[in-house]
Amino acid sequence: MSTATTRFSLERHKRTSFYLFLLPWIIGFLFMQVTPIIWGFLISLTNRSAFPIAVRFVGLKNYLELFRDKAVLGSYWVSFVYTIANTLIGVITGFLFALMLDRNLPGRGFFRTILYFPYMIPMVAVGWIFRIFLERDTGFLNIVLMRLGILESGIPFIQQSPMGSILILSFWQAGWSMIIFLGALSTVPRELYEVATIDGAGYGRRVRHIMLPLISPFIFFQLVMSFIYAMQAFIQPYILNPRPIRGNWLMTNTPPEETFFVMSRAYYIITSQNKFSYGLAMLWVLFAVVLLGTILFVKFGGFWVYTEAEERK
Amino acid sequence: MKALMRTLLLVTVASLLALAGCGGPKGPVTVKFMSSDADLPAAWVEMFNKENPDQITIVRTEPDWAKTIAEAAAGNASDLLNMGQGTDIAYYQPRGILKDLTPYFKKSKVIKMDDIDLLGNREYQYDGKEFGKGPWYGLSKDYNNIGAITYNKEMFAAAGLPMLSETEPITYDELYELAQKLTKKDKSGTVTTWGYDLGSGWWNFLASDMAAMQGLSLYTDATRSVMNNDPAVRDIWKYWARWFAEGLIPNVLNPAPSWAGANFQSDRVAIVQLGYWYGAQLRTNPGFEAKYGWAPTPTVVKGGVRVTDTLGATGVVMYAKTKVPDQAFKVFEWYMGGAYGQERAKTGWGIPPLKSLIPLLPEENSFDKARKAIALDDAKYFQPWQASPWIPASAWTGAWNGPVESLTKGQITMDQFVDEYLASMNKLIADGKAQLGQ
Amino acid sequence: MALTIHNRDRLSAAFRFVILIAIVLIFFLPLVSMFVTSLKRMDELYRVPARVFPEQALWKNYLEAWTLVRFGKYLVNSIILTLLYALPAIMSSCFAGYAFSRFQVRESRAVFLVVLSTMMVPAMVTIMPLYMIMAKLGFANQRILWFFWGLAGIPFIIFLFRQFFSTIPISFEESARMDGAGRFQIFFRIMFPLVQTGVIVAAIFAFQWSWSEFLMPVLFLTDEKSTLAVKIAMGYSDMKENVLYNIGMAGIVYYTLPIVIVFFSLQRRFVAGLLAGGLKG
Repeated sequence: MSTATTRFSLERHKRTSFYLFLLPWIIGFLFMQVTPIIWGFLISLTNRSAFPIAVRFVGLKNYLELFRDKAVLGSYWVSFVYTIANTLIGVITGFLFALMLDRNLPGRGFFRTILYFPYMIPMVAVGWIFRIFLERDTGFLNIVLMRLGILESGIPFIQQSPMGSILILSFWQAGWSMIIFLGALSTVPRELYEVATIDGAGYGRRVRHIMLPLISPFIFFQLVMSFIYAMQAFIQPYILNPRPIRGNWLMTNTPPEETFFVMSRAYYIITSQNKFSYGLAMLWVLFAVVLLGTILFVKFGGFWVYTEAEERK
Repeated sequence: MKALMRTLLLVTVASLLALAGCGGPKGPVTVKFMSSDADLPAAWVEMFNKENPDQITIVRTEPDWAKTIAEAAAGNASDLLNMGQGTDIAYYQPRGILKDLTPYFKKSKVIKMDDIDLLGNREYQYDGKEFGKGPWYGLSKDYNNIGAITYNKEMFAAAGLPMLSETEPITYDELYELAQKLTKKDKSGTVTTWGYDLGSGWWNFLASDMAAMQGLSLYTDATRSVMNNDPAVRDIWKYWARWFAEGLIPNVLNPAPSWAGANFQSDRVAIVQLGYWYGAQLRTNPGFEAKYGWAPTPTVVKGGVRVTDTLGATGVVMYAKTKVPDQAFKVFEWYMGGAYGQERAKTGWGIPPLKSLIPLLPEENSFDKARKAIALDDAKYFQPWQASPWIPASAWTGAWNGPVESLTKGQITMDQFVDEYLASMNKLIADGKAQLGQ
Repeated sequence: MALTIHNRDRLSAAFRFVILIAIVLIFFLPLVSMFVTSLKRMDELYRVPARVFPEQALWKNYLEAWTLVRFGKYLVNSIILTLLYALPAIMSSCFAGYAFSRFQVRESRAVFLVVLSTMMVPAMVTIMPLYMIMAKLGFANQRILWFFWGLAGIPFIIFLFRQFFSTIPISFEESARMDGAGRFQIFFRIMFPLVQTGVIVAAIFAFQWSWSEFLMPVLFLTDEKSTLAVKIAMGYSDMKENVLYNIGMAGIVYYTLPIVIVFFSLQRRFVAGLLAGGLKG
């Protein structure tokens, strides 16, 4: 009988400890996540605007309007395109970098630091750095290319391809992806490669049959994280905006349609157009899309992920 | 346990310290003045604060109407607000943001009712339906003939073009031809010098003038809820879109480094329509007298009807729920007719809101004389631009930019452009009406 | 065999080295651009044809970047908010990671999934309603918000701490418990000191996040309390409303410097910590 009570009180002690240590997080979670999310949803069911006028409950009207709003649907589409592109660029670049840095190399630590470093620079700074870099007449890239004789006159990079300009950032900041893959590659036991080499497998086969399967959980993780992160891109379109900026009215200048991402447009709708409830509805749909997308991907996209458990079959 | 207590204590102290930073200054009353640095320079704020050490302190807040509206919802917006266009009063007044200043005007010794220049301040008086009648909500800080032409004489001379007359307006078609001759491209077709530029979104004000000169309205109805789809009005919009489509103005394919004023001063643009106030910026450049010339606002028909506008004039209004109305009005008086008001008049940043200050406008050199004469002349033909009371002026640009870029890239035709633009505008106006429950 | 394994390795290393040097040089270009632009005169930014290097290095820009916008004030604001966020963030994440690692109860897995799911919530979905709630209650412009945001922790760091704690043998705690130590004593005296690498990783993450955060200060704070992130993003402009790209770049150098310094001084432990913690993922 004493063991039963000890186990019971142990369990209770554990539970108390669990929740005690979790308490700060719970407070933050309730205050900063749960309350706003629920309140935001409720507001999206009204017609509230920034002005204290005639707030009425309108049910799902905002959502229905969303699905008929070509501009808003366009935002979802370009966000989606950007997310796919950003993920591909980030994952592939990070993987290639990690591949190059995995084996012995003089200055390995140096390269690792330098390639990761751009990721640490805050996004607003990165945006401005590239805005200056890519400018048509006085941008560094154009001036250098013209001096080298490669170009006759400057190319308006940002104007010709706003999306491309933003995607360059994905390449420049692939350091995060690289670190993940470096960690991933270090989990693959060397012996597997050596055995394969002795058996006559070339580099390509070693990669395909040993490396990729064993790091597939990490690839999976990267894809999911990148998806979630990229769908929330917000400030880049405002800074890498092809339209001229006057004074410091950065946020009143809307980005062009092709880079007017969901969060950017929601911000504009809420702060410049003062349509609170409509903007919130937009954000809720984004939330649902990200949540659904992740769940679907985890459930059905994970079939190619190799796990130890399968091996034991 | 002790360590836990220590952490809690540390955290509490830190947050208390942070909260402590929230206290406001005690002593003199603080008047928050929302304005850009250019319209309320720090030096003048300091001077005012020094002269009124125990009574009023001005604190400048960043110009951000979006934040102001949010702050108004909470009841703590800035006391004085710089408004970009007086016509926005029609938009903000029914939304409860503005304070009626007529009682203050009646008692004021600095701002006398019969001294107010009605020509330039028309938009700051609004009775819910029309400008120029009803309560006063503020004053323009100065007003300008924004359609006045400033041009680079050297570029004209280099292109073999005659200087423009300072008394006879040219037509918009002539303006177009001039710009065509002055736009320069390099070997690969990239534009290096544009013939023309203007403030972003200002084509709406000039389009309004063009319509008025032909007796047309930009709307189909008196409440200004639906855009006019008449062929004559469509042609006006097409005129302005053509500038972008043909690259005579910086556009998405040939972007300029900055806004019109900066581009003109770095000799990248030959002609700008910015207005009298722009001269105050140009005066600081060496050799301005010989280099820059002025011409009156263009007309549609040579020698025909003249209509010009002030875009509603940039001015100052007061927040409806301000807690310090008397002190705020004192600052308002200082800004309009007091020391700083006089200073602005002396450097020629615009025609002052009070008639008694007009003699202060500079005219020591031919440059200043010309622009002053043109401004006072253009002022005779002022009419409020045809703003819609349902949307703020900033909304027009949002509807324009997307379609005009598609047009520039050749993705849509001119007619499709006008269709898209008018459709966007109609939707924005409908949204604005819905906000007020209509 | 034409090439021994050893030689093949050396060839591959040389090949990779060359490519990496090229990539590093390309990576540096935008930074060179930033630096070079920061020393140019205003009209060198507008006139064509443009030159790569300024005629004369205008070091004055660095002074003006500081004085034109009262850089010091925003720097102090950024530091205050970063501290206000980072301290609770690190502690809360560490506590939570410990909870998940050591106190496995039936609902542990479910709660952990909830924690991870917060990563999927787009920031604006929570910030915008908060903004409206605050505006309605008249509570705008309160720094305390950053403290509560810190309490909500960083999901990835919670995950990291869980991994770190899991690598510590239980015997450490068991012996302490048998000596009569309470749960918090165990945590602060024994466990916490053992995850210093995790704390470093968490600190760098928290610092970087708060330093870069733009949406929250731009919505919630008035200019007096605003942060560097907002000021830099809005750009520097002069009385003529020209955007001062050159001084702006100098400002960006100042803005990025603290992160760079912190990162480079701690990077070895930071990367090692990331790799070690990420392994068990």
